[in-house]
Amino acid sequence: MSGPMRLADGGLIDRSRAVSFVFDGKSYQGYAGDSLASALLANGVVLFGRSFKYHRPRGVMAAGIEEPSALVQAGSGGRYEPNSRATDVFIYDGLQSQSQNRWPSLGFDLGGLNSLISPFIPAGFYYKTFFGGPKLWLLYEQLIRQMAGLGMPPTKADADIYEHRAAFCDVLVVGSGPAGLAAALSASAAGSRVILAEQDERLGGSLLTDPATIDGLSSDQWIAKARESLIASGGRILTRTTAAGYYDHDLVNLVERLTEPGQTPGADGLAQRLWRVRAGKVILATGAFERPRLFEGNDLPGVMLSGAVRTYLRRYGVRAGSRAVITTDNDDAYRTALALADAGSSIAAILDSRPADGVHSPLVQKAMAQLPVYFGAKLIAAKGSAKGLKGASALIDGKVTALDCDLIAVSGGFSPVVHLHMQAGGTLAWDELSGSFSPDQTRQNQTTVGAAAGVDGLSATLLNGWTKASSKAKAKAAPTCASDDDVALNIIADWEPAPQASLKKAFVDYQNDVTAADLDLAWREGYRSVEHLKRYTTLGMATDQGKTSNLVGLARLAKSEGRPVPSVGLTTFRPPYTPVTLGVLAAEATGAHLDPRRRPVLYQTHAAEQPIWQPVGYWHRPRAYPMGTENLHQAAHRESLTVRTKVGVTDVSTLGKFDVSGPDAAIFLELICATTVGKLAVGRGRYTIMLREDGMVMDDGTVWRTQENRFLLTSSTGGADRMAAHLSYVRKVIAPHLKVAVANVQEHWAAVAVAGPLAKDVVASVLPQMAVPRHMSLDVGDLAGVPTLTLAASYSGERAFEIYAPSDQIEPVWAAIAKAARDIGGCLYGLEALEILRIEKGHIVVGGEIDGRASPHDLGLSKMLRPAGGYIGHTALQRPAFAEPGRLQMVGFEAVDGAAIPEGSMVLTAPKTLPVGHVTAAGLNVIKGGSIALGFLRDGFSRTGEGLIAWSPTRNQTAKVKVTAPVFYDVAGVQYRD
Amino acid sequence: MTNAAHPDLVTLQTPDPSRLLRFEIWSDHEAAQGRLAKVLGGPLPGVCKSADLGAARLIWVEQNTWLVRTSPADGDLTLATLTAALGQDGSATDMSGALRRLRISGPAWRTLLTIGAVFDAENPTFGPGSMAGTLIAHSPVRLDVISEDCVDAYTPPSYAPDLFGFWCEAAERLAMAR
Amino acid sequence: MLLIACPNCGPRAQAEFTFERPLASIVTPTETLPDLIHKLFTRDNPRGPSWELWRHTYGCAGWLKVHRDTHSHQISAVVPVDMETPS
Repeated sequence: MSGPMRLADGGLIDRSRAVSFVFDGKSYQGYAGDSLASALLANGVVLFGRSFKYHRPRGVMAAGIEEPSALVQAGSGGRYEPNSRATDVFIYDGLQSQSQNRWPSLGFDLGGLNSLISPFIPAGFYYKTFFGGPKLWLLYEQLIRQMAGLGMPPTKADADIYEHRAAFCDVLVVGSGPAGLAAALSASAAGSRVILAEQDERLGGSLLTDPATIDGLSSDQWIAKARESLIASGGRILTRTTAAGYYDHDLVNLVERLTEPGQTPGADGLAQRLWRVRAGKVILATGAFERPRLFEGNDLPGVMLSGAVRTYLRRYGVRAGSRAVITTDNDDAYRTALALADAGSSIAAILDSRPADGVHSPLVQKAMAQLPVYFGAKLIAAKGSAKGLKGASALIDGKVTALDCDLIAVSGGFSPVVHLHMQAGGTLAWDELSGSFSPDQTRQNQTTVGAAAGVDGLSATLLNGWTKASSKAKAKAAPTCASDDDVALNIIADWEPAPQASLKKAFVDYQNDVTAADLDLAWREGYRSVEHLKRYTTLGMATDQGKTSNLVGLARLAKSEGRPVPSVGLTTFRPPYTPVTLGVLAAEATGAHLDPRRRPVLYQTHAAEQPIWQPVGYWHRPRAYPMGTENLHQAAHRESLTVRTKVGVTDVSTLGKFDVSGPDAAIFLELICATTVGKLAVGRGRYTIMLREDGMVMDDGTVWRTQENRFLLTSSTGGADRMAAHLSYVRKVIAPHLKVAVANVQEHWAAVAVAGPLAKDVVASVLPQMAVPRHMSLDVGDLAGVPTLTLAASYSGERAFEIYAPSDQIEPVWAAIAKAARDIGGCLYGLEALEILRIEKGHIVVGGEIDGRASPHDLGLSKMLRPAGGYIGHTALQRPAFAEPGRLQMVGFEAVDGAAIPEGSMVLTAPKTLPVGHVTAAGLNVIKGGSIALGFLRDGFSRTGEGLIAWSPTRNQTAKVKVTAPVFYDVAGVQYRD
Repeated sequence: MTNAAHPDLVTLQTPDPSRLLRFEIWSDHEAAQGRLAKVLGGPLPGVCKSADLGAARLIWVEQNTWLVRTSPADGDLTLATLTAALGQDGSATDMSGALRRLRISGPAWRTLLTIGAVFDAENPTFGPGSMAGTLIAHSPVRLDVISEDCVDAYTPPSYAPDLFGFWCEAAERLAMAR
Repeated sequence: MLLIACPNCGPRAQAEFTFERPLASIVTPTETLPDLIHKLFTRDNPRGPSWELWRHTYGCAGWLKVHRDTHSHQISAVVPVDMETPS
């Protein structure tokens, strides 16, 4: 029913639920619980894809996430995932999957010709092409891009929803094999808050392949009981959840798959969830990877890891071949041989590289009694094609022997999965006999248990998990297994291929097509450092990050070097452990939630006017209010002209605002502000600048004395958060002794600015009881029942007022002012007009002229500085460099030949010379017309009248300019006064 | 603002604006706190705590600084009352427009607060009368646990619409996943 | 992301905090010019444990002295800014 290789019964699949899916356009059936790999193998499919560089036919090698070869793309459109491991996709009805890196089809692949020219694509091929001259490289690049690669990138935006969750626990257990489950049970019994994460859809780990009797129960029953017990005690169990990264202070990212690749999510629309778990302690029960071995054709379809063969057989009820050769350096592969024999396959040979004179375990003795076992034997070559294996040759008793087989089960020992331990800053210890690194020193609160710690045998694994999870755990309470199930590995690592094997077809890294010959060549060419070797040969790169290949490669390098493996070194283990969908990292932060959109309190009121919006940091503010068919430029020009000639109204609610009160308020503000504050009379205000302690200007604003001991300090919108932090720093760190309170009232107060020759009339009409304050004075009033504060201050250069009201009551205030202004020919104006007007007046702005590199002297503000000093930045202003010639000083530029001054251009004395300055803001002369700009120029104060060139290479625009003072309108300063 | 109402799970509300007053004490802390306790009807809550006093909800916000939430209709407790009680030892500021209050109620409020967050809202020690400031969905949020079933979240009004929308969407997802 | 034990709020995620500066780089308004230049521009940049000034910006807004190892990120002490640093 679900394929010719499926056994009649057995396995953890649900044979009552058939599942239909498509691979490479052909429909297949599997069962619920099947992985894509197991379902295809059951259907007799052996060819899963083509290799990265040589387009060699590849089958499936593993049964878990370490699979290097059987990569597929799943789904379509907005639900599409490339490079998914067929071993890590559980099938569902309607799954659409395709093999990768083949053209025109998997069976007939033109790129397979690369196989024939592979002698000409050696290690470091990409680098070597660089030496052939640029033209040759362009040719190579085209070819390489077409022929090499993994899956196709998606073409549509991700259709799914992702979510981030914060989670906290006393103990996080990663992995639910026997060690992980024992650890979780132990921690839970000790009263800890436990989270258990398992990347598979089922708990159990190795118990799913090798069932056992634990505490008198079948392992299925024991797992079910453990699950119930953990949940009952408040634990959280997350299946299909991968611990992708282990970060500082025991923060572990868990990626929970709620859908399989390409699958439509449930009603909540969630495809995946990222759990950011902060754990008191992390138990790593991540198991071990079986290693491949070096022989010719070790990448052919039909060559599989021994444990994977057993997993397909027992978990999925799929026989991967009918006549098998086993090659091993340990006891575990004997379990595979016996299991295959039990399932009716014949065993052509067990080639055990260990010497014959060793002590044989009962398991090996059992196999020796019924199967052909050869010690000191090695596989030389697998023979076969895209259609499968056609035999093998082996070195048995010193003789080359032909073997008939359609399956080769390989076990080159086991490497503990130490990725998370290493990400957490741990170190490793080397065991020469088993040829493996296991965790040694730890830096965070991590403990590795079970096979990941190099623990061997089920009873030891259960005990290890149980006792390491909690200091309270008693060994005698640990779960125990039946003695028959307690099999040790007895690995004697042997990295050496048979001398007859051609290393040019003996693959180390299957995903990157790196052979043993490539590594030897790289070494001969001088790539001795493991990091260099990795980059030169691409060993251990791409989506599997060398999970099956790294140690085999290291051992090869160690042999060339004639040094032990640990002295060769390791490459860095970086997150993520397995590939992570970008969508789940971004989660909610896409589309409307990309970042918070801070809406001014009048947002809806503005929206009714259909303005052009402008993001300013997180804020969204109206940039201009176009009328009819006006574009931005036209609208902004009309608005600024209306301000210059009549009156304009704009929303300045986003300005930074701080209420500073207390007997020491003036003293505090004289630390913050470089201008005079203490002498201000009540009801008066003034322009001010704030310096950093290195003397550079940080921000500007106004300071108003509302009461004897109370001030209102304003600062720029963009710098408001920084100013809040600065005020807090000075208050709490620099001057904690002062009797002063600083409250951030940025959003408490909303504010409407009215500017223009008719501004006074508008204020008088909406606040008839209040005398219109004179320039830099304030008064309180009542507007439509709302208490207001009116500040007479000008940014535009016209007579202007800012009318403040509590933000939850600003609506009627804005409405009254806007109406009064429009009634006498005024208009609303946005940020663009504000910019044009301030450029014309030469008013500096944060992010423009206040760029963190300009001192008050450079900005021409020396006269404002408080002569007595004592403000932050005063000492640093004495630095000699501030007085040296050559400083960039703020000037104006005027276009002289009609060409507009390009925004952001550099300023040159002649073409092709080094710049002597730059333009910070380009605008126009509102009434007279003509292009003007503000900017910086070396020694600019003394260069008025000089002719220069403003050049923007990015815009390819040039304008001839004349240096002027940085003020273009009302130089005498009479317009804004009464 | 849209609203999510799943009484068996989580309900989101935007209560009417309240009067919010902030005060800070800089000297003679004990005496000043004593005078305030008389005006407010009970002792000030300690670090990271909140309390319902006779006249208002009091929330500790930072060192020597508290937030007072009262009804705008409450004529007695005004800025002037607080200012008088503080005397020379501190100062008060009207912050009514500076923060928006969002109310989350229902058994799943803790779960909702773990979404897009970095704070351990599921910790049982974070119970009624606890205050925590944190970041949720990039927005600054101050949480005040009212009861086992209800929490108030304060955020600047400019962040409130997005944050409220974020929570409504998350609440709908929780409801759909039931 | 670091976990910083705020004396007011308990252990909290780094996202709630802002790094301000090394403690040794705090400049007072009465600092002499040479001292200021040393503290701001020529101070040590140790690899290993050192005292830093952080702010629990989105929590209690408090200023904290944090003893952090710049290599391992281990934090061995966090005290409010107005308390003496243990030597």
